Amino acid sequence: MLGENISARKIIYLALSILGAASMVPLLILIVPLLNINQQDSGQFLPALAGSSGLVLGTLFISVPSALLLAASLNSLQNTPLRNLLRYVFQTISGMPPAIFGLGLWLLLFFYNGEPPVRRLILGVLALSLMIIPRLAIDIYESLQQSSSLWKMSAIALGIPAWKADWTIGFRVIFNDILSHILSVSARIAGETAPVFFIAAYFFSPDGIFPDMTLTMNVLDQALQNLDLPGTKAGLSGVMLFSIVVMLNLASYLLFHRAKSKNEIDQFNTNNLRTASGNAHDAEGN
Amino acid sequence: MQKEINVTVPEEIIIKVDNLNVEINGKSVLKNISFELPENELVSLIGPSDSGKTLLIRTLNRLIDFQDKVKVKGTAILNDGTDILGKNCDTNKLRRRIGMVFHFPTAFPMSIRENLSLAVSGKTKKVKNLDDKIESALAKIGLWKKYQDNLNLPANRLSLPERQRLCIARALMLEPKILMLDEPTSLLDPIDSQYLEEALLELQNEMSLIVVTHNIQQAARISSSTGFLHKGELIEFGPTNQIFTKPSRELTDNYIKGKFG
Repeated sequence: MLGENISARKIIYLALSILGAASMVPLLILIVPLLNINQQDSGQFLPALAGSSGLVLGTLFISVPSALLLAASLNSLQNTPLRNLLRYVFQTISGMPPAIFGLGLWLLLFFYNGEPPVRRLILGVLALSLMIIPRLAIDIYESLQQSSSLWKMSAIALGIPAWKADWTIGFRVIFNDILSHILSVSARIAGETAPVFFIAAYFFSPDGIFPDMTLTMNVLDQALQNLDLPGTKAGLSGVMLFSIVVMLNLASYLLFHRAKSKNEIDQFNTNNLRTASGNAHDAEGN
Repeated sequence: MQKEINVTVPEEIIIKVDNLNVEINGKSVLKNISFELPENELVSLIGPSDSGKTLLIRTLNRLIDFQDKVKVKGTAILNDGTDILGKNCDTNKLRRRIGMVFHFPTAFPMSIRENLSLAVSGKTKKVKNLDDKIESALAKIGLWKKYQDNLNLPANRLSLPERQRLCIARALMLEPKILMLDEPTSLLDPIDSQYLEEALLELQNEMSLIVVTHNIQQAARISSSTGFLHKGELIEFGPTNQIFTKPSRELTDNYIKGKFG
């Protein structure tokens, strides 16, 4: 018989942990020869791994607190026009092609400073943070919305302000959701090439002791070796892409508001046909 | 909400509600509610579903503010002159004085101690003797002896009745003047309900209590006054003995006799 302190659940957790750890073994077997090959070849792999990790950690360092703050703010705005506007803006930004963020920052810095500064890692982190924050904020906000409202009402009934209820209890309630969102954006950051390409293609001088490229840039570098694209053509393509995205987003915003106001008129007409009792009954409770 | 109103309420009356009307989406859901809640008394609100019992207590601690398209008219004044429904009422402060416990026990996902200490975190002044307050709150609802050495236990490990008690203890941490409970025993078995009723009867020595209940027998057992609501109207409000033996309205009599509900 098992001891009283060891429950079936603990055994399952232990078994899953051992299984998880065991699954790392094949990965290690694959990585070790890869390390050897790359070290003999060009010495890019480990620095690139460190470079990607630096970019991911740096981006998370900025974007997670910002996204939590924005999600709590959105939640405390309730159903106000400002909340709806912010939500729309966040959704629009998070739907933009990733290249836009790197390109936008690059253009900005180019016009202000003449040439991109040397501290490219920070710029890469900034570009990726701009890309990630709206998505992460929306995801966390939606998790907060989907979580039970009972805990929030209970906290408010104790005289705790709504924003504090979100910070102290809400984020605990959806902790697993937040963790899952952070993990998925980490994967996205690690896999991004386009924003990094424009402003953080290499972080420090190639002969420096620090990593000079991310994993994705290593791959891109290999893929583009045979292409010989003139710089002006690439720049023009970038500006064109940036303009198209901005114009499409503006058009979408205008169309959305036109459709919304039309829908509101239709809704008003429909509501006039309804009896008031049905609506009030839903809201009345006991 | 509305402009501030100057009304004096006698000290022995903790709250005076006068001509309270609530409209939601243009439909009147509470109509001309008037009653006085005496100090240190336990009042039960009974009535069929959708009669407005929960809405009434939600109005009194302004949780109704979170409802869309709501209009509130009338007055509800505390005996210190606070106009509950006034525009300038500090709702967070009000909610610390008028505690509320919901029918479903919502223990926060943290330890017993954190659940209780979080309750006072909304206060602007630093709370002194927090440990003493925790002991006192848990002792009042009979959880102290069992958990005094295990306050760091996650609250979700408690049984459902214990969680309901924890929610009451959490509200007691604020030392409210009034404690409102929305069907606190609806999820409990008869034995746990009895324990909770005994605890509530003890509590009325320190504060006034409003208990919303579907259980007519429970209202008869524990309350000194009872209000009967039907379709948003307070049909009758008076001493429990009178309501249950000689109700002045036929509707009340029919409800108590179980002819509808």
